[in-house]
Amino acid sequence: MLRSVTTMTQDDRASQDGIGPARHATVYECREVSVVYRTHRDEAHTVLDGVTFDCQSGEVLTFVGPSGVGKTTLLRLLSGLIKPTSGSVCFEGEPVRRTPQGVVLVFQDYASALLSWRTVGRNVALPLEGRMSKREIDKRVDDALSQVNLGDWKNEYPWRLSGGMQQRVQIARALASDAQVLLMDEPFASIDAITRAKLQDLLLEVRRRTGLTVIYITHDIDEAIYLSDRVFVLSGRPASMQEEVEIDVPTPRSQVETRELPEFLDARRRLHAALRAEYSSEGAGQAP
Amino acid sequence: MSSPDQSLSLRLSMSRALARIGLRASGVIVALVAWQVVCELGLANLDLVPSPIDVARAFVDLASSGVLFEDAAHTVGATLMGWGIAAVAGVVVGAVLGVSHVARAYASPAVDLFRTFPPIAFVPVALVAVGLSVRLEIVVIVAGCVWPILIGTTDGVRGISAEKHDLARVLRLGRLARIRKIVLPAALGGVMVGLRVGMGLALVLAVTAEMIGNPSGIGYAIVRAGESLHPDRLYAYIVTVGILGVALNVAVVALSERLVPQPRRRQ
Repeated sequence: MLRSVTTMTQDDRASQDGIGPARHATVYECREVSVVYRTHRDEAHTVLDGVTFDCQSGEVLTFVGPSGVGKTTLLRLLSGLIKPTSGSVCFEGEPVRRTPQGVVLVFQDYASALLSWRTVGRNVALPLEGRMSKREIDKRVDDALSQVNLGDWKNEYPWRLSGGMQQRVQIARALASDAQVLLMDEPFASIDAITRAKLQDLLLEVRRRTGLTVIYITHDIDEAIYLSDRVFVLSGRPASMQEEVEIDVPTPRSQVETRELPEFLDARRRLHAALRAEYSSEGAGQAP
Repeated sequence: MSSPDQSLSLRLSMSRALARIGLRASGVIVALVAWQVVCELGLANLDLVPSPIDVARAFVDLASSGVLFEDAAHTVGATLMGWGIAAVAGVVVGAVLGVSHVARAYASPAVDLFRTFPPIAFVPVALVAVGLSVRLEIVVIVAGCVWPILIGTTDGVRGISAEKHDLARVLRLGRLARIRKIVLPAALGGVMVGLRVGMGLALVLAVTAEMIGNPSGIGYAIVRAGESLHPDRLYAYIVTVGILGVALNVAVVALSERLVPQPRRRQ
């Protein structure tokens, strides 16, 4: 069944060249989602306020915003790790109660997201164990690792790998379990710029090949534009959606040329403007 | 082309390994030489302090007569039995306390109280309960070394990061798979620290229990050597305890490295 969904989006992609106006099935629907935490002094602390958006199958959707604004909270909502205080989060029409089948969260902290006592191959196999035969698992693990160019590292421990490679193991783990949707929480934030560029291209390549839906979080505006079909600006305290920018940058994208295109620069200008408004209003708010 | 390279790197790594062993043994060697010099110069009363060479001679005598091995075997047997029982009890109870904060709330004051009791104080009680036998040693060993194992396990289970729990949920692992594949392996580091500390304690407690309780093994041999005014033998036995302690520690470390591959282990 998952296979057929993947095939369908691949066909869609073939007809639309991957990126374009969304005529896909809706994957996520968030309606007026708010999250309120109780602090240890029992004060109500609103993190997200009235966040509403849809995510279509096969698109890359990115949220940018300053650190601590509540981006991670949003991904935890989508992955079912927390529940909204009010509003609704639906995956394929059903309210999210636990992580939906086909959704995988890629953690920012790869070191704790991979099990240090398991080899790379056995880390990738983790979500498959007990759900299919050993041979099927082996086949999928090999396939997923070769998709992220880690075929030779199957029997190595993850902590022997560089940060970028460990992040690729996490992506392979998602691919092996037939993920339709990747939720990525600043996955390349702690990785050097050159490796980050390679990983961004790898993600676009995997996405082009599999028709994955990606919901991505970053504080890096250029990264957001480079990867996405649509970018949302999340800012304010409590955080709410400030701006939606459609990215009309043509595909396939390349690290040098794409970043010099007028469309890219235009999106960049609009996003910076949206975020600048946030800084100045915050500064004004804090003034005595 | 690669073979001269290889032999060179092999020789390099061998000389490095020898240098490392030399470096590690240097403290012991310096201490032994200093001890010998003190004895040779007559700076110490030789009736009480034998020279390292005397001790080595006594050690060889005891070893060749087979007495040493008999005593050591008894002590090691008691140590391993006591440690084994403490390991099972400590890991099971420790895991329960680690998982359940209710159990922890009720039990940790008791644990903190009981672990301050000196295990040797149980010798008179154990004497009445189980008599002069190896069981007396085991009671004392378990009473002492169950605590580090229990606390190590509890902390190991509790110390599992929130991210690991998130990971289990995001990967949709069932409760059993979560415990088997994430909680237990993640806690193994803490368990192993407890088991190592426990092993060191177990040997010391075995020898002590033999000295003041059950008259057998190395502990009683130390008492015999002292009473018969054979300080060279007394020290030979003490050195034996040291060797056994190092060997048991190496064994537990080897076990833990087999079970838990260590991230970024240094040298």
